[in-house]
Amino acid sequence: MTAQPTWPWWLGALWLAGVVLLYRVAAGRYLGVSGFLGRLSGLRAEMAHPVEAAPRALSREAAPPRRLPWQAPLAFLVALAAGGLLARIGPGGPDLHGALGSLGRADWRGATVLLIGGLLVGFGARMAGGCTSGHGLSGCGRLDRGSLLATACFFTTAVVVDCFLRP
Amino acid sequence: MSDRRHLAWHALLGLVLGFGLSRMGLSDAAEVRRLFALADLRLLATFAGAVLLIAGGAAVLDRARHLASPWRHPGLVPGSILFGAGWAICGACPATALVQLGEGQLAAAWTLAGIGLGTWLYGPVHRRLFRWDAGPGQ
Repeated sequence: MTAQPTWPWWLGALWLAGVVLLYRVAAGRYLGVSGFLGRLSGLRAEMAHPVEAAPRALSREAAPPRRLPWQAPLAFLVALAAGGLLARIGPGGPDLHGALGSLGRADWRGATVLLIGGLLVGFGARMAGGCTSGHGLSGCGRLDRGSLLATACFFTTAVVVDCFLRP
Repeated sequence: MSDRRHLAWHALLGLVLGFGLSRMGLSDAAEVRRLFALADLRLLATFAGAVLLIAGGAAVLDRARHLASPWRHPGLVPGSILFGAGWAICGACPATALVQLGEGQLAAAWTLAGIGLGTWLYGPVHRRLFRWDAGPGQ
């Protein structure tokens, strides 16, 4: 569905790194989208702890960062979607009529696949304590061995599962 | 930093990230599947490049880092496997599913419903079945 030319690898890399590091400076912790979702779903302290909030590397005193107001993660998640909309404006902008139709047409098989995939993504991310941003970018960037392992696991699994899904 | 400034920074960085994820093709399920099929490694180079840059930045920003043992808990590997399977199945992760929705790929609403449900479901399942020490919470 992407109509615009995609960025070269190095621009994407710079962009992702820039966001993660700027977030680190602004928020005093590392970025992790599944952590934001977990926070909004009210997960309690005994749940798998998002790796990006681990305080060990932040200061000599290792004081945990002040708990973010819940509106902040929510704003981030909404803004992610807004960013997608912004990216689509201009040539190849969002074809909302077509998109609305795709949901209305209710291809139940496709919807079920997405629902199941999403279920595994959501559950797995909480169980692992992070997702592609939390473990993949933030955790690996911090050279956290757990994150490196988690990232290797989910990439490998994705490649293997994809083999079975392709016709 | 005040709550209002946190809010502003979160909104701004979310917007910037969402924009970039879309333009670099990570929200395009077809491109992501090409990555998993190992047919097109551009996204892998994007990811690896980002990690290297972040590592450089983190080394500077977290100068006083401790050498404490990293966080390992029993859920890490099985959770990552479930995540990877789900990623291959729906072609999205939590961030890119939101970007997809913003782009107008309204079918992503199903993905997000699944992610939301899975995120929520972990709570009761963990309490009833796992009960391992996952370390201090936020």
